[in-house]
This record gives sequence, C-alpha cells and structure tokens, in this order.
Amino acid sequence: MKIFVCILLIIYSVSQSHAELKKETLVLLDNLATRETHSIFFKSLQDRDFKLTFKLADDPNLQLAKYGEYLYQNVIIFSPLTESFGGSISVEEITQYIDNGGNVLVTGSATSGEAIRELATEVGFELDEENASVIDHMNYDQILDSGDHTTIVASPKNLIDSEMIVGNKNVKPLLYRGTGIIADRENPLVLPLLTADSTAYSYIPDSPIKEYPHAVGRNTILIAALQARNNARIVFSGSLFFFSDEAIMSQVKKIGERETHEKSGNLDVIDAISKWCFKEVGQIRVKSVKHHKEGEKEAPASYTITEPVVYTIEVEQMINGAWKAFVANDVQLEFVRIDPFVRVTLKSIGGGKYQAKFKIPDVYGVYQFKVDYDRVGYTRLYSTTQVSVRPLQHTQYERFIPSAYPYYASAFSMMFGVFVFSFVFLYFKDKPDKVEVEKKTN
Amino acid sequence: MKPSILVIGLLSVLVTYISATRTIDNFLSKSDLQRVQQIFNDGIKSSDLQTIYYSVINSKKIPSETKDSLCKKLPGLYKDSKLNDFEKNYYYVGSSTTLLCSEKIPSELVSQLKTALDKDFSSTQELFYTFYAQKYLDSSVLKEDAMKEKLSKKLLALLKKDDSLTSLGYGFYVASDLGSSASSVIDRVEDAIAQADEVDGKLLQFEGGLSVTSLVINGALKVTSNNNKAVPLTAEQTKKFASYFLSRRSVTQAKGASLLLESLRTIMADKKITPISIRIADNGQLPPEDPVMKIKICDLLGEALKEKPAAVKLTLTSKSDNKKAIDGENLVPSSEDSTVYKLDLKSKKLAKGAYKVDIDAGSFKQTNMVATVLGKVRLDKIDVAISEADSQTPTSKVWLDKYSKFPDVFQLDNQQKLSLRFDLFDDSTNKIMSVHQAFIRFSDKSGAEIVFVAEQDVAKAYKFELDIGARAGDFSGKSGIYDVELIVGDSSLVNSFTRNLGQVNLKFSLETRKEKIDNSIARKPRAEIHHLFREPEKRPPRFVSDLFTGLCLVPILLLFILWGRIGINTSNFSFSLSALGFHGGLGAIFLLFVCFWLKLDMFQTIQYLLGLSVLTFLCGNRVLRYIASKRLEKAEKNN
Repeated sequence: MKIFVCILLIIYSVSQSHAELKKETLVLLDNLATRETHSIFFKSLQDRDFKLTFKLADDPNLQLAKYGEYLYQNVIIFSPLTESFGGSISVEEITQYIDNGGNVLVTGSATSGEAIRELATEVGFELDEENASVIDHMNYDQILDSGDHTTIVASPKNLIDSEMIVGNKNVKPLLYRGTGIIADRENPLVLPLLTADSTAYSYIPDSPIKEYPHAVGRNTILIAALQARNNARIVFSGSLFFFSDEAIMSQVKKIGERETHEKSGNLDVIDAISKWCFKEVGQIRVKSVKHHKEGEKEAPASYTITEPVVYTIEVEQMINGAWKAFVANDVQLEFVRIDPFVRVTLKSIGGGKYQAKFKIPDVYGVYQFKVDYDRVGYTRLYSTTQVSVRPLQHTQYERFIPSAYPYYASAFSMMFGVFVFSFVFLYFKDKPDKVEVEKKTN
Repeated sequence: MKPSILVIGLLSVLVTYISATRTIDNFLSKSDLQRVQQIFNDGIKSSDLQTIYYSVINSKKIPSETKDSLCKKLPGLYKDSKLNDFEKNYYYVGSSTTLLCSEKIPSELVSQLKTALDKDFSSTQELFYTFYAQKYLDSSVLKEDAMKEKLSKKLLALLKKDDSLTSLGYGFYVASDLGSSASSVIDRVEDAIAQADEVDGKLLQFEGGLSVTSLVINGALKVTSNNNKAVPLTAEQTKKFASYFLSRRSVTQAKGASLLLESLRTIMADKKITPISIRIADNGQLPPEDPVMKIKICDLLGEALKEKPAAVKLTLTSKSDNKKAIDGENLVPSSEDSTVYKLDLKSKKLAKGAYKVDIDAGSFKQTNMVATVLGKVRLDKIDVAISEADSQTPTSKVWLDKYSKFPDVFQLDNQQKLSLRFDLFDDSTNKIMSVHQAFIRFSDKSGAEIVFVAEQDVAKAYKFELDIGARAGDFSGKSGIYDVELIVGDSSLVNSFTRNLGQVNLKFSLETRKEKIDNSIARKPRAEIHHLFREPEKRPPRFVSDLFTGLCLVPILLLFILWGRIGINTSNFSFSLSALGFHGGLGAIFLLFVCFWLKLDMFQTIQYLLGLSVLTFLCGNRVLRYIASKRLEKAEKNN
C-alpha cells in the first residue's frame, strides 16, 4: 500500500513539474498562413514543451497581461508588416514587458511596418529603411534567389563566438533574405549574432546607390540580440524568411561554389537561438554564498584587517529544465570598498562550488564580496555580500618588538628604580651624621 | 438586342479574364514528391495507427515482409491507440483492408460497425468515419437505397445542428457517396466556400489550416461532381486554393501529406477549373554565353499536360525602357523534358538587364514573370593618384592594369589624399556601364574594415577620393597598414568581383585619435588585482637594539653598584600594615604594568589598577604622614 502511494506521489510530482514546464508563448502573425509556412520552427518549439498561442498582430482582443500578471513568458513577433498592434498591446506595452523580464523574438523583413521599427529602436537596434534588403553579389544562393541577389548565403563563420547562443558553428551555410539591422557597436548589451560578409550591403535593390548605405560589410547585422540588465532576452532578425520551412528545407548552392548542400544550417541555428532567447540555456543562478575566516566555519560579525578569509559561492545552471552544477573556470570574486581592492579567479572545488582564499587588505571600512559574472550567452550573475573590516584592537598589535626593547627596558628599570629608591629614600637612616657631629665637635 | 451584345461582350471578357488567370507559378517538384513519399515510407514504420493508415493508402508497393509484420502489429496498435473509437475503427479497418491482410478483422468489430450505422451520431465526423469504415468492409450495404435515405436524413439533421466548417466538410464528403438523396446538402457548398480567408490576395484557405481546407474543398468538389452539378469554385478561387495547397508542401506529417496530395488530385480532376503551372524553368538568370529562355509548363504535380498547348508564345519587355524586345515568338518543346519549352536568345543580342516575361499558351497565360539577361563587366585599368590635400596636382601617379597591384605600400599621412579612378565596361558591347555596388574597402589585420562608395562622375567613370586627414574619424584614428580592396557587384553581372589593390600605410595625427570606450573587456574575465599591503617599517638590527637595551639598563645597575660601595641603611623602616600596604601596592602596580605589557589589555589593567591605587593611596597617605610627623618630632628635638 505504501509503495503504491509512493508511486502515485511520484507520478503526481512528475506530472506537476511537467505542467510547470509548459512555457506560455504568444505568437503574433501578419496572417495565419505564417503558422504553416513556418511550421517546422513552431513544431520544434511545441516539441520542446512550449504552448504556442497564435494570434493576428492586429487582433483587437490581444492582451499581454491580465489582472496585473503576464499571460505569457515569451512573445514571438512574426509580423513584420504590422503598422500597429491590436488590443492592449503596443510598443510601450512590449517594452514594459521586456523591462519586467519577458523574452521576445522579433523578425522584420524588407518591408517592415512602423510597429516593428519602433520596437527595434526601443531595444537598441535600427532597421534599414523601407524596401532595403541585404544584398551580396558574391554570396547569394543560386537556387532560391530571384535575380536581385537578396537571398544571401551567410557563412556560419559570421556567427557570434558563443556556442551557448548560436550552437555549434560547424553547420551548413545559412539562408537569409531580409533587411539589415544597424546597432550601436558601443552598446555593450547588444550582441551581433549573425553578420553579413564584407561584400554585403543593405540598400534598395532596384535603385542606384546615391547615398552611403546604412549598413555595409560586416557592420550589416542580420540577427542581433540584446540581453537586458534584468536578463530579459530579445532577438531581432531582419528576416522572417530565415525561420521559414522554405529556408530550412531548401538546398543551398552559393554562387561560385560547386558544392550543393542538401539542407541549409538554418534549423540548427534557429534551434540554438530560440533556446537561448527563451532561456532554455544559459541561465545561471547563485545557490549559496559562504564566507569565513580560514580555519573556521561560520561567518564572523566582522573581519579584522589582514585576516585570511575563505569565500565559497555555489552556482547552478539550468540544464533541460533542472538546476545542475555550473562548470566554468573564469568566475571572479572582487572585494570592493568603492573600488575593488582584490580581484581573484575562483577555484572550482567540484559540485558547482567555487572558492577563493585571500588575505583581507590592511585598510578598514565596509567592504563587499562581489561576484559579477557577466559572460556572453549567460544570464548575469550578480551577488554581493557586505562585511565590515575593522582595524586591529589595541591588544592585537605586536607586543614584543625587538627594536623597542630599549624603551621597555628603560621603562621597567625606571619603575624598579622608583620602587627601590622610594624605599631607600623614605627609610634611610643617616648613621654617619654622628661621625660628622663628632668630627665637628672634635 | 443591344443589351444581349453587352452581356456577350462582358461574358467574353470574363472568360478571357478567367482563362488568363488559370495559371500559377508553382507545382510539386520531383524533390517535393520524393520527400512526401519519404514521409510515407517512414510512416509505415511508425507505431501510430493514423500515420500508418495514411502511409499505407499512399504507398503503392509495400514489400510482403513489411506487409506481414504490419498486419500482425495492427491489432495491438488498435488496442493501444488513444483516438476516438470511431476514428481508430476507421484507421484499423482501412489499413487492414488496403494491405489485404490475411488476419481477419474481429467479428465483433464488424458487427459493431454494421449496427453503428443505425444508431444516432453525435457529429458528422463520427458519421464520416463510421461510414467509410463500413465502406472498406462491405460497401454493398451502403448502396441500398433505404440505407442511403436513412443516412441522408441523419446527415441533414446533424448539419442543421452544427454548421461549422469541419462539420460541413465531413458532411459534403459523406453526401458525395449518398447519391441524390443527400443532394440538398449541395446548397450549403456555396456558403462554406464563401467563408474562406484570403491571404495577401494570393492564397485562399479556411481557418484551421490544411486539414480543414482540404476537407471542405475535397468534399465540396466530390459532392458536386457526383451529383453532376456545376463546380462550386471559380477558376480564380481554384487557383488560390491550389496556391495555398502548394504553399503547404513542407508538411512533415503523413496525414498532412496525404491530404495535400488528395486535394491537388481532386482539383486537377476537374478540367474546367484546374490551373496549370507556367513558370521560368530555372531562376530566370540568362548567362551571356548561353542565353536560353526555358519555360516549364506542367500540371500541379509537375507532370506534363495531357492536352499540350498548340503554341507557346513568349514576349519579353525590357524593364528599363518598357520596349518589347521579343514579341510573341514561339517556344520550341525541349527534347529532354516534355514539360519544358525553350528559346535560344543568343541571336537576339539582348541588352543586359531585367525583362518582364509574358507567356501565352493558348487558353492559359502567365504574365509578369521576371528574367534577367546577365552580362559581364570588364575593368581595364585603374588610375591611382596621390596628392597633397589642398592641391589638385598629384605628387605621384600610377596605372594599374588588369592584374597588377600598387607597386609598393603607399605611405600616406594626414596631409595627403588618395584618389582612384576607373571605368567599367560591358564586356559584350564595350560600352561604359554602371553597377549597383562599386565599393572600396580598407581592412587591417585586426579585422576592422572601413568601406567607401565610389561615385560616378559625369562621364560615368567611377571616382574615389580619400582625404586621409578628413577621414581619420572613419578609421578611428588608427594608423597602420591597410589592405585596399575594390568590390564591384551587380545583380545583372555574372562576374561580380573583389580585387585586392595592394596596401597603404596610413598615418593619422595623434590629435584626431578618438577615445573610444573599450568594449573589448566587457563580458570577459578581468585582470586580477592583488592588494599591495603596506610594507612594515624598517627596524634596526637585533644587535643594535639589544645594545641599547643594555645601555638603558646601565643606570639602575650603576645605582646598585654605587649603593653597594657606599652602603645603605634603611633601618628607619618600621613594620606596619600601612607601610607594607604602600610598598606592596606600589610594587604590585609596577608588576601590573609588566603584566599589561605581557598579556592584559587596557580595560583589565585599569580595573586592577583602580583597586591597587586606592589601597596604595590610603596606605601611602598614612605612611608618609607618619614619617613626616616623625621628622618634625626629630627636628623639634634637635632644636
């Protein structure tokens, strides 16, 4: 009977956790046909336990939040033509959704609507002007291109150097047709996931180049991402086509190359990017933080300067829906009093635990143990623990300094002298007085 | 009389309009069909009853071993299936009879299906599945007029209850096999078709995607044709539905693939409305050496048409000047492929550029396709000049021919400018031409690249001028050696090229160096910092301090030595409690100080000191008073 109850409980908990894993996702489309032309991508999401809700972008009943709570964990906007969203959704609403930690995957196209452009601006990108496409006369696809060299073959080499986000870079060439994205390269939060080749540029294909194109060469970003400071993830692709069944299933034959690839590498990259965007990978968190003096176990009320200290942090990573130990070799600890006084690389001691041993600086004040682990592809790990460091107590200074012995010796000899002399002085009996008197009398 | 002429005129316009649009530019290609067949081949191996059914009915040759093992597997799968009862009955019976399995279908199921026809159905869907399951088993029952009547009544009642698209679709299907008794259902066909949604003006579909669209269209076309009624779709609608089905060619499920094929076949079955596919056979890029225009004309499944068009005429209109380059010339059927018609354009000497392609194949016309006649570009020489920024006369000049590079690395500082000038020729006509992309790219070793656009002057020559000083900002003021590359590209060229011109060494003045925020360290491990502890003060050597310790102890030693010499007499001391207290106290205080040095802290010391000092003070007071009074006494005596 007991075993039976146990099994029931296990089944219940498994089904519970399974239900929690269903990730509510809103998909906004220009028309419902997109649902079918991009079915492979949507299917792959559904296979990964996403619950997709398909809506037209101008559906008058759209809403992101109900009773102050968001209905969706992720939003996919596959509606490049939208001029304005329907229902209660607006660019501001989506921006606020991002501010509250929501993940968004957006695609534009050569003809992007006002809504998408505004949204792009809000998250730090800019889409090239109306009708501008990324053109590459040296790297277009011979099979799908219709003659204006806008169906380009992007080399996987141009993917960002982060396996976490884009997966293995050793994949088949990628097919892309759409507009270029311009991003401020000095914005540290922006990640160019895929850029075009040096020979590419973004311009209107059938009008001669009169002005300098907005995006030229490798500055032309095809897919950009932004991980906000609150770890919300936004992926912006200039091409809806990139995610389509056509692009995924098509053969690839780059101009000037003999080889025909049976399939494009789009699916691999889309899979990796969507996993990253919807926080299936690259999510880390602090499980515990411990610090104490070396040789002790509990954290003291305060540290004294120059004491040896041991700091241990336990970090976990989300892998396949479960928190597992995180493995890395570049986690750093800073000991900060306005400026960092100490920065050391933590040593992994197994089980996702990282440890550092160092001597507290000889400057007292209020310090923080700070781990600020911000790496491309991972959520930002930020942990601070405040401790006070006080100066030595007066008894903690060195007492027996050899070079001070003359002072000790003089002080104590003086004390001894006073003691003896006072005794002698007080009780001295002047014996020879009589002799003197006798002498005088003599 | 007049009105009737008008009507005829209108009708004829309508007819030509309809026939003109009975073409689409898409079909299921061989690779698509192969892929779909692969889905079915894989489906046979699956363990899902529905997938197996759709794979089986679409596979022609199943090897006998596979067949036998499938037949054995079916009853088990039927049991495990989580589908509705009526659905899994249908799939089981369907698969089993299509496979001609030797294993008999259980007799309970057979009788259950038979009696089911007499019961009430909850939906047209249930009716559909039960009906067709029975049809697989024994269609003779369904041919009885009484049965047809009975089922028709039930069907009409069900449709009255639920007139959703799905319900209507199943209804049409069943009605198509019920003959005239259910012909009243046909009245609802028009209504159903009207509910289709149009996408981009190109596609028509029903809400719910492929399954619903296929159900309604198949049902509607079957029920009307079986009853010899007019086709419920116009040619335009058929075209859009066909376009929709073709756009769904990337299906991955056996059911979807089966529905897709069935729908296309149903549409093709009706000769009057079925569209055909006319498109440019390849990608419409005509290379300069071998400009052959190939047009593919086929049905929706990529097969040659049964009734071949008598003549296929091609019209080419140049996009740049809107003139007809070729007007209605006949295409010749290709010898290798009966679906391809071609025309060699070499003798026509067409100018490079984009053309509008119109095809007229008798009653079918396809317009507004685009083909590009490609050309070759030739670059003979590049003038390179270096001059001072404020003067026009160059200090040095070089010509680069077809293959050469800069003679050496040009040294350029911010007072100078570099100019390039070149002409691009159309290789076939030797005329100066313009291209879309004529860029000059500077790149350095670190991978930084700066791209400039060469502009055309009045004589259409390309010119590029780089004023080093003024352009420092573009290079972020980074001096060094840069590779210079010329990029020439255009969509009408077969030989778009990049050419490395050589290297330049750019020197920018330091003032122009722009401070950039260094992003390179963001998101990477930072340099370690180790706290520099204050160095302890320097101490004298041990010997020196010991020596001075000795020296400091000398006076007290001296005191004792001298006292030893002269001798001391302290016989004035008289034992008393207060004297003991005073001297003991004093000594204890001094000992306390020693302890203070050795281990005590200040607070403990003060605590002890408090007691000791009070005692010493009181005793001292008494002792000293006593001594003082004794002295006074003595002095009085002496006096």
